[in-house]
Amino acid sequence: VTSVCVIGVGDTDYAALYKPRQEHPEHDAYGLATNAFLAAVEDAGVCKEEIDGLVTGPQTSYNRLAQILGLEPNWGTSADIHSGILAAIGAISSGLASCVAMVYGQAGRSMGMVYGRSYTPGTDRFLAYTYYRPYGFTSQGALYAMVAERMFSEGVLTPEQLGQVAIGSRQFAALNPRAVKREPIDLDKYLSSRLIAEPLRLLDYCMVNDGGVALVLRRSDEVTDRPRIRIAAAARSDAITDADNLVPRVKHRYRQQYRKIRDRLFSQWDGGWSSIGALYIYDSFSIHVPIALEGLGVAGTEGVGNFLESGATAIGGRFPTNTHGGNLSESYMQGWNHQAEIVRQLRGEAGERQVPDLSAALYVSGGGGEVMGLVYEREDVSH
Amino acid sequence: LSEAGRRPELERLNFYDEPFWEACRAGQFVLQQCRSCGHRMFPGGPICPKCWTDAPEWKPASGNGTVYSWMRMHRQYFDELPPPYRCVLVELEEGPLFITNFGVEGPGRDPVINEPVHIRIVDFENISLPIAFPVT
Repeated sequence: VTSVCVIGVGDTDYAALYKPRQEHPEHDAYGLATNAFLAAVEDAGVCKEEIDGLVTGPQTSYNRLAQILGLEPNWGTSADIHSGILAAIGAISSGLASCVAMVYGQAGRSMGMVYGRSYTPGTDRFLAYTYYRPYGFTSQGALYAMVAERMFSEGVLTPEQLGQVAIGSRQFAALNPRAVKREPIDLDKYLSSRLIAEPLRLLDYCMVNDGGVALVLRRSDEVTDRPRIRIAAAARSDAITDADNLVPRVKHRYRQQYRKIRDRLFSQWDGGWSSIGALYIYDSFSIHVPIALEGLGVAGTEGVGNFLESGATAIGGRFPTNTHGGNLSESYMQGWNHQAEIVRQLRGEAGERQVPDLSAALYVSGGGGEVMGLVYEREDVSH
Repeated sequence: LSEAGRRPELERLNFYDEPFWEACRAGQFVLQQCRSCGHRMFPGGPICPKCWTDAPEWKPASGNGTVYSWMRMHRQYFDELPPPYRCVLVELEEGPLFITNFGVEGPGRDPVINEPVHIRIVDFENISLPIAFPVT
């Protein structure tokens, strides 16, 4: 059980920032991070001196961003959202900090960032793809194509059912003025989008775009005058084996890790599936959604393919998923934007895409060997 | 099979894997094996991750496995590999999963999940690589 609330969120207008690569970019990751930070601080209603912790996203250095923002933290680090938010919860829970700003910015599109190709990010640290380059296998898309093909062959999922993820994310994005990809798509359009790493298509991929997201986290007992959106439970389970975690990732699809985090989240929190009104799943690829649904066991005997086809994760479904459009359609803010959306939804500030009567939401991510989850709850709620 | 052309270079070597590539150059497909519990592993490391016994030995692997999954790349990332081409994920008899290609590229049938394959070393112009070939 954590005693941490998110008291402020801020982000940039992703749609307005979505432009072709420019010779002289109008911003960089630090500027975008700064804009998001200022918006989150204003939303949180805290002053500069109150912020005593700082987490910066992986594209920005901790030192440089602390310098730009003029902060003098008692604690801080640079991390992705998943490690970073757990570290921030730990820092607040231990007393190292009481009010942590988490700040992310990236200018991947204006910088011409390409994932995959001949350069394979992470090879030095993870040995990811080190061995596969001579075979022409150098991208996350290629890896997740292996997972998708296996799920198709096992009868867990059909290509048409997988298409519901991309279609559903666009339906939500159409209701989100900041989303980059708002044009509706149907199954025909999905199935005719070009193959990249077959069986995955262009519409199974997230975009690369520019933007920033920031969150302000604070010890719950110091939150008096803001909506209390509490991180009610947090859990992580890692499975790091083999080259690029092939066995847990492709063969076991992190099922054991998803079950572990589900059980630990639900044991830390007095709610359960019946209290959760929306799901948020890290979706750099569409296939992450059925992998997570399968691992969490949320579809039950119906199976994840039928679950997706039934509309359970779409607008008006039992578990509306990635209600902002996710990384696929809103913005590729690498999971940071999911947290901002959860807070806005729980406050009832999500406009046209607001999930009615929402009191708790679950976020999960299963990336490079690391599976984690968070339960967010509006604190005036009793189960 | 030396007519097989060039392949993209290895980007980086894992410190512990030099014996693996040395064996490939000698036409042999090898995996580390724990001296104590027998666990077979890839990539190489200084100890067995199962039982922490040090200095696992590089031993020939059978080369036998089955297709666990496969994919076809449609985007061109390398001059040496014009798309489309196929990659297969092979579940080796000894346990590890291994990514490779399904035969030397060119026309030919697609892999079938669960079909048996055999890994042989193919000498390309610039590198010797383990490649999976259909058994039937």
